[in-house]
Amino acid sequence: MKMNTRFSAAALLCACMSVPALADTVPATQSTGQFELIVRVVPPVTPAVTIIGLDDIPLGTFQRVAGEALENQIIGHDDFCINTGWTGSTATYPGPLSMTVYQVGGGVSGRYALRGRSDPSKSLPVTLTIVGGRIGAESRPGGAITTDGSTLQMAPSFASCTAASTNLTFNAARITVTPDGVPADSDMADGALSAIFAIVVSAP
Amino acid sequence: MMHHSLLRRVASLLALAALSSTAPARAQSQPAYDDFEVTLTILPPVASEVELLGLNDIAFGPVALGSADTIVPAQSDHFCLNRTTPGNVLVKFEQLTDADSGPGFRMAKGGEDYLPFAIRLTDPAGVDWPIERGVQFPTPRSAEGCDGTTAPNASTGHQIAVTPAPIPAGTPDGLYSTTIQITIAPAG
Repeated sequence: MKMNTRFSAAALLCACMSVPALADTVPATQSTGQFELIVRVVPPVTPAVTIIGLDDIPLGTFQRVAGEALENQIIGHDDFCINTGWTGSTATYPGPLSMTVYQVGGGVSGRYALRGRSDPSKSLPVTLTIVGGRIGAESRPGGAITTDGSTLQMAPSFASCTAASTNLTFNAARITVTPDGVPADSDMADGALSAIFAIVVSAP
Repeated sequence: MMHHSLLRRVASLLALAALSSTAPARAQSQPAYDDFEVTLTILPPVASEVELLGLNDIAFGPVALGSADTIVPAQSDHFCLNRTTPGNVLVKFEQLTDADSGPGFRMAKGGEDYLPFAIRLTDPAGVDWPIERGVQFPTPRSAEGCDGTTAPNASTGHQIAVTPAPIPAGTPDGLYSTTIQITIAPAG
């Protein structure tokens, strides 16, 4: 039997590419043909994720008034991009992405909280809400409330999202910080408070 | 600041550590991470202080008596009842002279002849408050920016209107006067 088939170890990895086959052109009782398999093996491609335009959120200074609660007055937000791609490619990774927000040093009683910079006994719980760029079951008007260490499913921002983009454009994500109210005549949160949060975004 | 840089480095390390503890064993893309700081300053309450600004004397000028009761037009003045914190201001009008004259106000001449008058207070919202002598009552503080100068007070401050009662014919001529003292305090 005349058989001349050339395989290479690399070709075994993928048989999806081929070149035109050569075949006998004369009718006979037995016929053979040959074709070549070629494949280029490259390093595995992985999604690449980048966070752009995440800024500090200063909530400002508020004056308490004796006998009055401090509530519904303090809120802050920042818009940022979650841009994606592939290693070695200009294509955009479509998602989904997993996003987790951690508070450095942990929160208070299972919640995010601002802490007194000079007085550790002072604290004020805060709620972090992620708006925009979300997909799946967690997508709902008004945003998704995140808790320390929990994971949200996110959609990437549009490829043209930059640090100057807002939640209303380019599908940038928005993180909103809303401190709890301060009861009347409570000094639980007097002074300078702060917290550092780390955002981690990954592709599965 | 170096302090914050260090904290942020710790944040990044923590984030990565947390991520690696849950990551599957297979090859995975490198996660992206960044951090941000939230700051807030809350100041304790300051003591409520009040200040009365821009109160002027009121002169009615010469009034020529007629054969019947003489009507004297009201005179008004704008002034500020300022308070450093939100809330109302307690106001009390007292007549320093003529202590035993009862609940009404009156100007006097020589301790024998009198001209009664009424005082009304209008707050910045346009609400009218009739004034009784020695009776304390709450009124909204003047609007922010009321500084006691003349012109702006019409829109930001309070107004008092003093209306003398009609002067009967035969009232002895001469100079009638009194001194009104306004005392204010924070209401709560």
